[in-house]
Amino acid sequence: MIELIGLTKQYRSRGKMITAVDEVNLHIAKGDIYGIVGYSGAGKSSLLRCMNLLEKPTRGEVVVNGVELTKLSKEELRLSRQKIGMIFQHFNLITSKTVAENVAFNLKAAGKKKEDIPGRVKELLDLVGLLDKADYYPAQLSGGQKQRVGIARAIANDPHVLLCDEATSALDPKTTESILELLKEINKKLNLTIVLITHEMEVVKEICNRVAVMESGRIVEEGGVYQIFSDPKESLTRDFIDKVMQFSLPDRLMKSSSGTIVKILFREAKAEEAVVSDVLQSCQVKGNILHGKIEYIQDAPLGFFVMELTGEREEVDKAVALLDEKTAGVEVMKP
Amino acid sequence: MSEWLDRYQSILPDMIKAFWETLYMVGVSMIIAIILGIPLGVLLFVTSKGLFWQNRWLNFILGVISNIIRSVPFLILLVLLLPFTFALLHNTIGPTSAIVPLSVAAIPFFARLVETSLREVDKGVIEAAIAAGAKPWLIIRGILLPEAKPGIISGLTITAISLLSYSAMAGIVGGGGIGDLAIRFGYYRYDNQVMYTTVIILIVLVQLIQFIGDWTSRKVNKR
Ligand SMILES: Nc1ncnc2c1ncn2[C@@H]1O[C@H](COP(=O)(O)OP(=O)(O)OP(=O)(O)O)[C@@H](O)[C@H]1O
Ligand SMILES: [Mg+2]
Repeated sequence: MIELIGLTKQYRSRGKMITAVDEVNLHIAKGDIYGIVGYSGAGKSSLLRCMNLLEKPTRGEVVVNGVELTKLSKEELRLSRQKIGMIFQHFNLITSKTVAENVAFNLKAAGKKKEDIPGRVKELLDLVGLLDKADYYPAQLSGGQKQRVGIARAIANDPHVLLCDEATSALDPKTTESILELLKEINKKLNLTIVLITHEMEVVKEICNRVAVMESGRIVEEGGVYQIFSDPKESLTRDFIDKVMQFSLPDRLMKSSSGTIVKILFREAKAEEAVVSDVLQSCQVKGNILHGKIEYIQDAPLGFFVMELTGEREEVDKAVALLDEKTAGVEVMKP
Repeated sequence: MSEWLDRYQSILPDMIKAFWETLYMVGVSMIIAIILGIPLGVLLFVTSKGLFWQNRWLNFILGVISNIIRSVPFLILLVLLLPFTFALLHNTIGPTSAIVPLSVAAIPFFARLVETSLREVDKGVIEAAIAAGAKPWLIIRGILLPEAKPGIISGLTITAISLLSYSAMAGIVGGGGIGDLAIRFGYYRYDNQVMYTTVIILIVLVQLIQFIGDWTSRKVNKR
């Protein structure tokens, strides 16, 4: 659905050249909810804004739904944009127009017939659950409601793609969740491809099926969300995941424990617990669970538990080696 | 006391005539300023850097012309434009003739105020419209002007008040109106009664315009 080839975006500011996007190649399939994460300044917005040519790429190709956007004339680009929806962190609604008029504007932009507009507006507001707010002005809405209007107008012309730039970053966790639910619903109902930029891995975990991690204009890691969460290759990716899988043991516990502290990972639906108790028994090592956490990523469990192992040095080492072999992985936190 | 009232009695027809002349001059100039100033203001804005009709030269030329007109003191503009006024109307005396310099002064003045209010429009909203594939024309009509409406109305208020004081100056060179009256009676004949009365009328008019302008601007602001 979206194909980026050798995409580079440079800005010239105060005589200096800033490379915001650096030779990015990316393929986003139809129906994907594709997350792009990275710290501030990584180039996420620049990358996203190249996908509808709000930023003109310095080099490279942007192919959306089979059309190479950089080769289009102004008028052709304008028509192509009608099929690429976009929502924004700060909603960017027209303050002088009502909710219904905001949605109608996008329909007008696409040259919809006047008599068809009110019906379609109703349909869209119904879809995002704002039918009763049709005559409100944006200033009278909450953040979540504003973003719903943003979504309604972005999908008004049946786009192939929806681009979301930090669409939930200005919202509280609960509202974020409801907006993500809505996006998920739209993705299913309309088979709409969604590209979503965020600095919160929580958001990725919640709705994305694929994710790319960006740093200094490059994509450093890319893959299925479960795969990235369970087996991150880059330290940056690990940083992001740690925020979701975060845990901390009290320092006192780490210091006072006499045994070896290990973190045992488990994945999918394996019965790691049974494996662990078998191994411990066979090695004559005692295990004491200190911490555990399971996250469900697209309904598949991903988790770990932290154990203190006590016993003979050799036996403990043997147990760790065995565990590493039989589970998704073992990390020794304190030898 | 009765002398004082008698004086009003005799001057009243002149005053009423002057009042209507002023309204006529300011009113027509305002209409011309709206018709030409809004497009000029929009053009100044949309041809500026980063906007959809970005055009450095057009923007520069329009900007320089508006600045030149705005920097000439009105009284001098009035005199400079006499040949132009004559060519247009074959006359340089009277309120209709005064409309020419008043409009010339008001158009760039108002256009800059329009441009300033357009600059206040959230860039993100314009961007959302571009991302939606809207034509520039629709963006101007459907976003820029409605979003800037409160600011444009404030601009109209300021323009109207400036025109009122300019129209009084136009009176000096035979433009008619309240200013003309004040000069003829108050200045040349030391008639303080007429002079103060005209000043009071002008003050009341300014307050009225300001009040109506503020009220309307608030009324259309949905932010
Ligand atoms: N219009 C611009 N002119 C000059 N430099 C820019 C411009 N836009 C972005 N940049 C620079 O490009 C780099 C990437 O910016 P970008 O906005 O794409 O990052 P981001 O990942 O979206 O960050 P954030 O999470 O803060 O939104 C930054 O160094 C930024 O300063
Ligand atoms: Mg950004």
